[in-house]
Amino acid sequence: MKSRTRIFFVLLALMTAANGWTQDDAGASDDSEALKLAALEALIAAPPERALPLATKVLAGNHSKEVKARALFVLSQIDDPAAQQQLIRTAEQNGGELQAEAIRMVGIGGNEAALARLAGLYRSGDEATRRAVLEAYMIAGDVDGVFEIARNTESEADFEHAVNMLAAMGAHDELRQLRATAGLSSSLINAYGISGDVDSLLELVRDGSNPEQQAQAIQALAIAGTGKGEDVTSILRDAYRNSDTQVVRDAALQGLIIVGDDETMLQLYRTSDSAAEKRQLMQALAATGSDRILEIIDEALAEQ
Amino acid sequence: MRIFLHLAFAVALFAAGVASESRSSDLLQVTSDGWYSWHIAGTEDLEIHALIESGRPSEFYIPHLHCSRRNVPTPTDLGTIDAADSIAWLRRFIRPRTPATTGAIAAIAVHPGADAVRVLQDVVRSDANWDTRKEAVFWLGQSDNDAAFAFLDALLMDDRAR
Repeated sequence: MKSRTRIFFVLLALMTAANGWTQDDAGASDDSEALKLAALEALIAAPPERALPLATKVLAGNHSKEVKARALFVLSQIDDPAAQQQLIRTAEQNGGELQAEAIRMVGIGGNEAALARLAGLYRSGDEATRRAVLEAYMIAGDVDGVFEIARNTESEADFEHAVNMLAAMGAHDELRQLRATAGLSSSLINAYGISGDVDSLLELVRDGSNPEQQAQAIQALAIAGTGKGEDVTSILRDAYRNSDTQVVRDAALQGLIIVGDDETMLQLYRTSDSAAEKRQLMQALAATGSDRILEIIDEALAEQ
Repeated sequence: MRIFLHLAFAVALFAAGVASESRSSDLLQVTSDGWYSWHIAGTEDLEIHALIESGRPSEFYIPHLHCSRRNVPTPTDLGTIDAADSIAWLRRFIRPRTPATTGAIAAIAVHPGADAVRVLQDVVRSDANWDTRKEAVFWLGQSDNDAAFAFLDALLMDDRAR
């Protein structure tokens, strides 16, 4: 019995010690990882000739993805062709776990020669690579790079993604050029709204030849606002009143909800002769959360 | 007997540490509150400024690190001091961590020579405070010293992280 008890306590002691060793190892590992990240942060402001070999060595070594990603960032901050070359080499490693990160870092670095190399990667890359290249161009503010992708791609999804990037970059001229070369599309109308290209949207709002596109432009205009002396409320009201097409009228009403113009909606309600239309306008007013709906209720009660 | 010898050794080490600190303190001749400055021997224009409050530095100013001259009161000039003595004095204010720790580490880092690098390495290896260690790593990266970068290289190549 005594020997069994002794064995039990020895085993218990060993298990406790083993647990402690494991925790120590984990602690040392976390510590080591954190120190690596701190060392890489220190390299960002270190002399480039000192930082470059160390960052390159980290990339080639057996490290976590986070540590290697930080090394890529260090390289992106070094104004030296060798650093950019190393970034591009990593970016060109198809399927490499750091490929997309390296591509983005080329964007952060903003080196023109390295950015130019991304065009080839876009053409040969998979979807994740193509997205990373577009992000890199956006980070670098390289409108031409994104425009070339939008102009040359045959993929609808890629076109839309590039157009969204151009919209976020406020590239009015390039988006208008795309309308001339690729034709008007839903993604372009959205882009005009996002980029705030009111002139292009007004042109589309006043063009009744394609009601679907006109309706989309009306909603985009409501989101973009005007700001060039044009009164978005009167444009939406006129579109609602003057159009014979339901989809356009619906879009105009949606636009009024977006801009929250309860006064115009109340006017339209009072001048309408259609019960169905009145109901729709009342619902729109309710959607804006306006107190003006109480006036309609009071009027209705007074009529009874 | 063995325990007694260990205790005696520990007491001797402690006494040596206290003596060393006293010597550094005396060397800087800090007697009352206010701004003090000293020039580091062997350098052209490296100066350290310290605001002493209640016998301890509460703030450091290192003109070498600032593009424009900060508007600080004219310090009491302590003259030229050896880098080793300056580092030894500054080192006393790294731990425990206080608002002056960051300045003390930066001030140590600007000293030329291997002593500053050794102190920073020691802080990275053994300080209990993570922010203090991280600041020491940062300043090692700002030195243009082979030993500092060899140390960073060793940190980066430490296999325990995986």
